This record gives sequence, C-alpha cells and structure tokens, in this order.
Amino acid sequence: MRRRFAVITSCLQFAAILILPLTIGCLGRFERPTVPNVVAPPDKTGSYTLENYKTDLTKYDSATADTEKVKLRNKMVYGIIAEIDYVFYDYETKLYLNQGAFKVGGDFLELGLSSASTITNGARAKTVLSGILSGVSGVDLSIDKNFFRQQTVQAIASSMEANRDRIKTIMLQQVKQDSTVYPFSAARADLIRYFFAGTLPSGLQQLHQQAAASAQTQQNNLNKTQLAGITTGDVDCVTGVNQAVAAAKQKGNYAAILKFLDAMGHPIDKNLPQDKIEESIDIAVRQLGVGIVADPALRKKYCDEAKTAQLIESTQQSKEPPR
Amino acid sequence: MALQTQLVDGKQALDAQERALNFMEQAMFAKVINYSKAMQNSNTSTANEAVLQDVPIGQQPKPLHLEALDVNGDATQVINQQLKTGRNVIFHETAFVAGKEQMVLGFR
Repeated sequence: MRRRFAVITSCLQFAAILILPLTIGCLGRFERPTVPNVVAPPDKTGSYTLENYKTDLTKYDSATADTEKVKLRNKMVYGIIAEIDYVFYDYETKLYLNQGAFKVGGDFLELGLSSASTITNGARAKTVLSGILSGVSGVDLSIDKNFFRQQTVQAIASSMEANRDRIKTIMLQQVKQDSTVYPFSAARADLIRYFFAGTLPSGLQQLHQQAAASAQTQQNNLNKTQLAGITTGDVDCVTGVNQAVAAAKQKGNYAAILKFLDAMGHPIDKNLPQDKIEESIDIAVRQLGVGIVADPALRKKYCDEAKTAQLIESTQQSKEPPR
Repeated sequence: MALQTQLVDGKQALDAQERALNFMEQAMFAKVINYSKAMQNSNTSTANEAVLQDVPIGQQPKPLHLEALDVNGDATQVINQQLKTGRNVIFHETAFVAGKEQMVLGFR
C-alpha cells in the first residue's frame, strides 16, 4: 500500500513537471502573441532611441531651411509616437491582466510613467520616453477613489484610447504645417499630452467628465424650454422657409438656401457633389429648426435672414396673435 | 424616421398651442404624431409634450388642428364634425389647456 502510494505520488509529480512548463508557456503567450523581431528587434534596429532623438534635435536647432526643419521635426514626432504607442499597448495589456493590483493614492500619478517604463521591451522605449518627458514632473489630477473602483478596465481603456486618438489626430494634422507654425517645441508639448492621455488617471478623468456631462444633459432635458408665444407671423415664416427648401430641392437649385444657411452659421461647401449638398442641407435645416424652437432670438434671426435670402416675402411680419 | 420630443406650455389657450405645434412641424420638417401632458411634470408644472417624426423635405403634411373638451366628455360629436371637413384623427389624449387638464384631439 505504501509502495503503491509512493508510485502514484511520483507519477503525479512527474506529470506536474511535464505540465508546468507548458502551463507557464501558455500563460506567457496568453496576454499577447510573441512580439516579432521586426517589430521589436533585440538590437534596437529601426527603433527611435534617445541617441537618435538627441542627434535629430541638434540638427533641427541648427537647421535654417524650413524644409529641413520640417523633415527633422516630423521624423522626431513620428519616431516618438511609435515609441509611445508601443508602451501604451503594452501598458494596456497589463491593465487588463492586473486590474486588481493597481493602487489608488499618491503613487497614482506615477503609474503613467513608471509602469509604462517598467513594462516596456527592455530599455528601448524607456530612454527616449525619459528624454521627451524630461522636466515633466507629472500631471496634477484629482481622482475620486470611489469612482475608480466603479469603473471597468474596458471603460478606462476605451477612454484612454479615445483621448489618444483625439490628440494623435491633431498632431497628424499639425505636421503638415511649416516649422514656424508648428515648431518642435509645440510638437513636444503635444507628444507629452499624447503620452499622458494613455495613462490611468487620464482615462479616469475623461470618464468622470463624461459622466458629469451626461448628468447635465439629463438635467437640461428636464428643464427644456416649453414653447410659448408663437405668432401667426412665426408660423408663416417657417412655413415659407419649409416650402422654399422643398422647391429648391425639386428644382435642384440651392443657391438661396446655401446663402441662408451660411448666414445662420451652417455653411455648406458648394463644391461638394450634388447628393452631398442635398444631404448636408437636409441635416442643417432640421438642426436649425430644432434650434429656433428653443431660442426666440435665433427664431427672429432665422426669419430676418430668410427674408434677406428671399426665401420668404419681406412683407411677412410677426403679428400678435388674435385676442 | 427619427422621433423627437418637444415641450409646449400648457398654460396657453388651445389656439396658441395649435400655432406652436404647427410652428414646430414646419420648422423641424416633421409631423406631430402625439400630444399629451408631459410625464415628467412636477405637481405644479403644466407642460405638454409633443412627439414629432421627421418627414422627407417636400412631403410636409397638412396643418394640424386641435379640439378640446372636458376630460370625461364624449368625443364622438367632435370627431364626426372634423371627419365631415375631410380631417382624420391623429391623436386623442389628456393635455393641459389654459392650465387645466382637458381631452385634446388632433386632426389633420
């Protein structure tokens, strides 16, 4: 009996020895597939290192021709964006796996830099990030600890990604500008914002702001204007505009409508294809209509501009309702 | 087609509310499909809520006409009168008129 027990125990131990590496291997590949060498070469080939950055920055500062400055600025921007993107996705992966391990408190603000740095691929990204973020002491954010506990990782990750996308879009537009309009110092400020947009505090703050805005919208709905005091002249005005828009659509001639919408702050590009113009007009007139229901001042402007654009007769005046 | 809601001041007389609804329809390129006292009213509020449905540009329906009678009144006579004029019933709800609850019927 004792020998049989020893045999069984040995078999179990042997099985565990066989299974354990497989298990660890599976866990190691669980969070993400193995990063291909071309994406993260061990010898840093193709990476944008701190040395690359220093060299390019020196050249940028000494360059006189704008084309050269733009080329160097954009090289630095794209290189750093790639490094920031890599650390963010690594950070986001860890966030999903380790939500319970994140602490709330004074070290919260350090999560963005320290966690991203410690979980990157060796010293590759850490050094250029440290270079771009030198002198940045951290972001002063006030996060409600209870709010944090209520948020899911998915919501926080989505919020961070939305923040990053917004800033990245701006940067990708700005790199088309010359170096006077968008010098590297401005790009560096955007890159810093881009980095911190992908941090836990930034994601939480955005969620907090969205929640507050949603609550305000609901409150606004409860306080919605109750329409009153509409005159027969008001009805005649909007009826006239409605009919003018319909007639313009039938004839395919939108000149007066476009002039009216332009005056009302809803400009439409005349160079768009016809179907896009029609679609844009449809949206604009409906939006304007909702606006004038709630806003008497806008309503007056609407009728005045409709007369100016000759959509309605200039003799149409607001009349007092019959008593 | 998208639905929207708008509030109308129920302290107004019926004809003023009718003007308000027709104004909304024309301005918003929509038609009223329901009109009743607003559900979120507090004890003192007398707001009515209109539900509007978008209409394609150029397909605006005929103007809306409102009739009102006592909450417990018989709407048959009113409906028959309107049918003779070629109008159909659009809605038949309780709403505020001059600050008091009444049965309000919409015709088109």
